[in-house]
Amino acid sequence: MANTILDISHVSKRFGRFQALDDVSITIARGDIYGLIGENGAGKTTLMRLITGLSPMQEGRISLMGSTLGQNSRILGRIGSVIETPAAFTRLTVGQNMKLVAIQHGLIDEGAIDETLGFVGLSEKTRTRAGQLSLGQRQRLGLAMAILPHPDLLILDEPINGLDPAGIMEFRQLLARLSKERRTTLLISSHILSELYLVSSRFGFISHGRLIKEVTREELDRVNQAGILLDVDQSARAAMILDREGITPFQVMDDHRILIRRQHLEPGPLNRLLVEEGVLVNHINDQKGSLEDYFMDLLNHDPEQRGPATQDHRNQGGDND
Amino acid sequence: MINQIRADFYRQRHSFGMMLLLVCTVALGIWSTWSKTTIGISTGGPEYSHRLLEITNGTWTVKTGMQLGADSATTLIYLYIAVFVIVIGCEYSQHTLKNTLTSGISRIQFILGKYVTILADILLLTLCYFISILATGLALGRKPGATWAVLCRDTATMTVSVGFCISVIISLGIVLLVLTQSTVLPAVLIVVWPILIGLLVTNLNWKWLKYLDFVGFAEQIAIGTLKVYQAWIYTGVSLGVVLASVIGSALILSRKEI
Repeated sequence: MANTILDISHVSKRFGRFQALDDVSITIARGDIYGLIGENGAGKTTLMRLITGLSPMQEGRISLMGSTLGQNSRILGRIGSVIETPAAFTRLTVGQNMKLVAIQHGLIDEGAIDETLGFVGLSEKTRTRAGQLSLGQRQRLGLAMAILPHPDLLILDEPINGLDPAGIMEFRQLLARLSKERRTTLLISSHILSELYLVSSRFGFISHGRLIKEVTREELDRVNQAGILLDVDQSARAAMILDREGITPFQVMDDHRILIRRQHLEPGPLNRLLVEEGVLVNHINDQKGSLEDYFMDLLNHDPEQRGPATQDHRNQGGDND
Repeated sequence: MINQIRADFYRQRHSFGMMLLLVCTVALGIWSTWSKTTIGISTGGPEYSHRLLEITNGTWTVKTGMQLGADSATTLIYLYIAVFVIVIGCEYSQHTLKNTLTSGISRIQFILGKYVTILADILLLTLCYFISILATGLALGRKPGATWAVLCRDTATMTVSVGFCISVIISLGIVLLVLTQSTVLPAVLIVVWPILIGLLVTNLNWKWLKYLDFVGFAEQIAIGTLKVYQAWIYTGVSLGVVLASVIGSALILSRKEI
């Protein structure tokens, strides 16, 4: 597909007896902001290191913009990355580190450095040595060095680690601007779903080296809503009854499910109302709507009991299964 | 690869360590010429030592100073460890290797680029070293000892031979760096290599090992005690070691977790 930036196909990686990645397949399209979520040690960083060529491939295939990784190292010049902690020459200034990246990538536009430093909010630190920057400023410098060559794909490994709440918010805004203004495709990892939720358009859940689920933002949005989830035989009729009785707001999710976005609603009278009107009620669930609960629920399933993680997960919906 | 070499030179232009290294190299040339002293370990063999003694006991000319300057090549190795650390060692110690390797450069280009940068640095520093010897000898009013053309030719020959031979040992250090990801072990290897080979040749009587004595090779070229057929063997072995080191390092690097 011409629109595919990154195609990870059946990638496995083993360190000795430890299976770090097990048959992972992910496709990222141009313009996606893909959030890779998993607990510490789940395999997120390993996957990112494989994509950037920092870790040798063992099994599977990774294709970047149509070029298979390992066959053409120049393709790596079209991706930017901050893997693990951002690295810079500590004795060089921010500006000198940027200049170094510009030379490495053969960039000749002198204004690009100032523009990029301005973009990440480091203009005032141009003459400051990289070793004297705070953690948040180092993260910004790492981001600036990664985006200077205007990469097609930007890979960020736990970019908000160690940032204070204000820093997290600013970083989030930076990522949103990158996607919007520079149309950069992003792959971001985190172990905090709620943080990725605010920036990502697609999500991949990884646990014990396996991709256990992929969902879109819209699917996750459904999960992130607290209320009463009704499973009925005819949602259209049920919706009409709820509307007539003033039990609002609610959202018809499909032919059988309705989410009433209201908490502390007694399920008994609701059940009686619907049944008396001729609607068959299968289930009434109290939906908590917490992303972290959703994440934990996914992780609590034994990954060994699941089938191989493939893109078939993509359209399975984001309900609390 | 060219961009990588340019980036390394840019970084070195802003490095205090490189500036200090240049000062130390020039100071060594001035001091050894002024004090008529050579420091370092001579590994060129008995014929070399005999010839060296003859030169030392003779009248000190500018040419003498340059020939004896080559005898301090082992000391230059100690100084040039800094080049190794600045150019490639700090990529590991400062974890910037991942930035460099994800800039679209292949492993072989990376290693070759680093070796070329180190070689260029060493050649420039060694040239400065011999020029400082030349200039100090003239400043002290010593006789040239040869025509200007010969002095210029000797400067070029000694710069290339000493610089290249030191770079061969450093190429072995690169293999060890890539293998161990530590700058300490390669630094130790670079320091002990000339001594170790000398000791092994003497004690084990393995004559073929002398062709791995790259410092001895440079010293013998400078004094003129090397036979032509030996020079070819030394050159072949040195080039072979560099080639093997570059390819070996790239292969190891491609199989390593960065």
